[in-house]
Amino acid sequence: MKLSIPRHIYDEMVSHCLDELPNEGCGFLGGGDGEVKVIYKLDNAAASPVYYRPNDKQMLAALKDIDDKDITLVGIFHSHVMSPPFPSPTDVREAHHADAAYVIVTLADRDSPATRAFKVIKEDWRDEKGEIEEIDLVVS
Amino acid sequence: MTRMSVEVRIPAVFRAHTAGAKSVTAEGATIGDVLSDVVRSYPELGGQIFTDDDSLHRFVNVYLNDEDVRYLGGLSCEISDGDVLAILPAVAGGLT
Repeated sequence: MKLSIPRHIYDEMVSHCLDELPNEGCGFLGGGDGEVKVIYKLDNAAASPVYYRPNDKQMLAALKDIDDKDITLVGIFHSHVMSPPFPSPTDVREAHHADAAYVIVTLADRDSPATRAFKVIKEDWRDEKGEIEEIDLVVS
Repeated sequence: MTRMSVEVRIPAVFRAHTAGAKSVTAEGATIGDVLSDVVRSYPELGGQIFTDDDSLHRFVNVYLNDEDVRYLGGLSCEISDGDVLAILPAVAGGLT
């Protein structure tokens, strides 16, 4: 399993996360078959360096646009401002979109952001615990 | 109370329960009525969004015209013709 992100979208995602410092940045990636075609940069309504919750209005508009374009939500990204790009217990507990990859950008080294992508696999989408499976992130 | 007809947007994760429909039309006077009407049409959805005591599951958010209904009085909030409801499992995360 892999997630392919065009270079310009990848750069936009990282730039958005840097712009949101000192808080976590977040957004959606739309596309299909593991290929990202559109980025939706969303405000972090939590405005927190340790938590993200997308702005409701922007998030719903993004999801409507994804439906209108007949594509799918292939990724949900957010940044970790000081920690490694690996899902935290909160990230796992709050992961309810099984079809989407959870993409995490770490800004621990501001000069060299790093990104990894994961699926969080749960028996039931409401479960608080799940298995983390890394997927290949290809920037092309 | 008058029954209104509204669009209810269904998130991708629940579309297996709505025969793939991205949105459905339902009727009711309140948000709770409308969601119950949706569940009458798509019974499997009920167990996904409601708890055993008919409350919204804590990880399910419902929006009325982009506003989280928990801030609008919850399921008893009255609706108007042409309103749009959206059901969405929570999106969030972080280190806390």
